[in-house]
Amino acid sequence: MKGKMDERQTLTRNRIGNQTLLLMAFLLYADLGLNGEGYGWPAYPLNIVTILTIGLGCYIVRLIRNGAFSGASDMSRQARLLLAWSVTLIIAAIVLVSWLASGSDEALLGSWVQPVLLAGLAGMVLLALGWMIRRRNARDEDE
Amino acid sequence: MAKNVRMKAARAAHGLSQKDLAEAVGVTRQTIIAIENGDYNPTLRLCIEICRRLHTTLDQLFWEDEEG
Repeated sequence: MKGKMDERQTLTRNRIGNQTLLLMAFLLYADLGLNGEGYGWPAYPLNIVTILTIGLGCYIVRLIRNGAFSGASDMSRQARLLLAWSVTLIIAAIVLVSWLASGSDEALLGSWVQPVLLAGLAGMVLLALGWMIRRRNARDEDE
Repeated sequence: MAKNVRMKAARAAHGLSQKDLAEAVGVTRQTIIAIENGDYNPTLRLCIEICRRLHTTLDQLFWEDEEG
């Protein structure tokens, strides 16, 4: 098995996906129905973003809890690659900051550094997620 | 669903860990744990794979009679 989900994971993912879809549909219709009824609730587009965030958050957390986020076998190789990329990007961002700061070209600084730094940070977040999943997969050892 | 003690015993008799068996049949270790704990009902395809790997038959591992 190379990163492919097995049958239990696929079933679990589908079940959680269906439930999340229903949850988000319920929240969107509730938001629509309660619109203008005097409830204190953010205006568009913040209401949609909030509902999407709740739905996605529930989906991801439940996938990780149920061990259905990804196949486990080649996780370490993926994690190593991701770590290498993230560290490279963060180092590149730091080098860029120090290099461009010396030239005091702030427009260039903003345009180059932010995406690189964000990509590196996103990689770190994914790594943390992978670590959580592996930790979760290693539990319940009853050998 | 009751715990599958027979599968656990057959696996142990072959000196296989849950991880070894999981890799041999192409699933995650959590799936093997779920089957042994009775939390997941595997498909026939996976049952056959497990039986082949443990050199047993389907009824020896998965058949539940009246007494359980």
